[in-house]
Amino acid sequence: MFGKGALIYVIGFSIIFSIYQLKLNQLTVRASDNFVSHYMGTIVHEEAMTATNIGISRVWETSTNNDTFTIVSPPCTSFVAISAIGSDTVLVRTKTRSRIFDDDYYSLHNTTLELRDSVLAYFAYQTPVSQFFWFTGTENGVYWITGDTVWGPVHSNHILHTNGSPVFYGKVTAKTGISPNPAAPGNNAHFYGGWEVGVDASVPTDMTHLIMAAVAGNGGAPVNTVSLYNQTLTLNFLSNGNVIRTVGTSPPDTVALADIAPTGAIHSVRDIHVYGVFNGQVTLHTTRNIWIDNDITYNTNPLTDPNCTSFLGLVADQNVVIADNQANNNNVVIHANILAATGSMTAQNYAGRPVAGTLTIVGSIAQASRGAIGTFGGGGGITHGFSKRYYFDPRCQTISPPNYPFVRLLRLVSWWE
Amino acid sequence: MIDILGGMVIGGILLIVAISAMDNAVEQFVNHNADAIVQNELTGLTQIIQHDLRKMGYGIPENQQNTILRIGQPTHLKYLTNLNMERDYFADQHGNLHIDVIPDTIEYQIAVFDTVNFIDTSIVLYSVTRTVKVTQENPSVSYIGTIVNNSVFRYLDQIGNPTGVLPATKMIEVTLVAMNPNIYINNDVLLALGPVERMRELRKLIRESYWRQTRVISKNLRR
Repeated sequence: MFGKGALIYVIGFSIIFSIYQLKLNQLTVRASDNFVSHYMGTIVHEEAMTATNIGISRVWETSTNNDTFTIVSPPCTSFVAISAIGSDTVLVRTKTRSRIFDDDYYSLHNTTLELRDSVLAYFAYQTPVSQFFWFTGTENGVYWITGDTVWGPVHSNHILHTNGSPVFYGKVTAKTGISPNPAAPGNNAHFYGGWEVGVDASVPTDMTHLIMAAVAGNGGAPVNTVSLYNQTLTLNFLSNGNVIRTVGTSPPDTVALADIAPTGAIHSVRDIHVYGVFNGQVTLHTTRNIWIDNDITYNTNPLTDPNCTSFLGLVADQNVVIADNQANNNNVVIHANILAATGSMTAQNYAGRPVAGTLTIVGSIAQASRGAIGTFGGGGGITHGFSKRYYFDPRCQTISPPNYPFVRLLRLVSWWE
Repeated sequence: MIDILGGMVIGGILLIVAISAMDNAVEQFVNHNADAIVQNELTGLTQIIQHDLRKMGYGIPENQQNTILRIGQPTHLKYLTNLNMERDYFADQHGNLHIDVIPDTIEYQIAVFDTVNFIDTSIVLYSVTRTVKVTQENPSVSYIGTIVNNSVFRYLDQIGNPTGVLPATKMIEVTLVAMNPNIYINNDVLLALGPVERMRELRKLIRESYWRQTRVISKNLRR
């Protein structure tokens, strides 16, 4: 009844709608391909990151610097190569591959499309302890409080306490935690450089390389004449690079610093006393204490002169002590990198000496146990000893005093993904 | 004769139905196609941004870590990285010629690109411009896409709180919203009573492709 015309219309429109449906399907497939491609790219990247982390874990656990392995985790395959770059740097290199079916690519190449991603991670082990502005085995319960501003990295191998809103511009690390938790709303401290807990790095106590450097510098000379000493040593530094040296009860003599520390190291098994205007580069080490008898400053201030070349390391196996004497009772300025390997940096008689003004230190401070330099009363005012002004020597970010002890801590140098 | 007339009547009815269906189909097709194009463009855009952000701070010495991020604004991001430390960044174009350890810069800028008017309402489009400056090379400036949001970069500290202190920035939240305003407008849009209702009808047609990622912008900021 409806005739051939209707039939032709129906068939015609059926064809048209079929074509339209095909086009719509193609759109859907294209969108789907797009999504799958992006998704697979993400998967490949995440797989590369995972494989890299496995490689880093292997470096961390076995200290290897030469290894290769393959991780097959469908749909990806990762190849990880661990290699040494120089004596201290390890490179973890990861290449991850996968294949997907891409309509366009397949029609051109008659094969599936390979997706690739790579990650490079450089790590180093040794960090001069002078790169930390502040490094302690334990903080002895002392708090960083409102008004404290710290420009360099800080580490405590115990717990680090804050109260109020101290400001840390460098990264803060602690082994057993930061209290209160920096992630909790109750902590108002500003960690602009970031923070990390669970970092286990002890104050270095192995001074072998420092002693060996002093031995090498001493050559065959008698003890107490060049770099090795077994009597109390007093060094009054002069701005011209010389030093007035007093060994034991002997009369003082004036020598060039470069002559008594040709390798940049001086080692003693007795106490060392220091003061003066320092011009040179040397690390002093004693198995006992280092006494700071008066101001000890560089010939130019590294805070204002980035070209300052002087670098002094004061390394005591026991304590670094600011002597309780007349010279030190009206402000003290110290330009040095200080390390008290098993003891503290402290002020002698800190709880009994008179109010001594400000202790200014430009450099870095590492100590096994945080020492006191004064006491304060209920109002916050100093009742004995010093108030403190500590500044990180910005040069310490890249260089350190000669033969200065290292912290062995696997750290990231650079990351490419 | 009756057969032909009957066929024409039925066929005419079918034709009207078919034309109406075709009209809807074309509208759907165009709008779906616009969606697909937007999605495709956004995917490409995100891949470029991801590719660049992952390299932030690479090869920059630790003593310059606080200077990696040079500009950190919602519409403007500029940072240091070393793109030609091991291999020429443009080696594919001219061979492995330029290798150095001097920091390079990558910069993203969001700027007003165009305004598309729909009677009494409008949609503002923003361009995303990428500038790569590699030492020993001419700056490479490229327009990499169009989006409809101008607040793209948000800067977060280590625990994810927004921060205005550049050295404290450890993460960047990147938000990209793309849409294709070249759509097939229907009567609902044309007959809307006001700009608010018209925009609402438009948004039914202009389905957005939306991408947001909170990521650590390179582990080099967390050394």
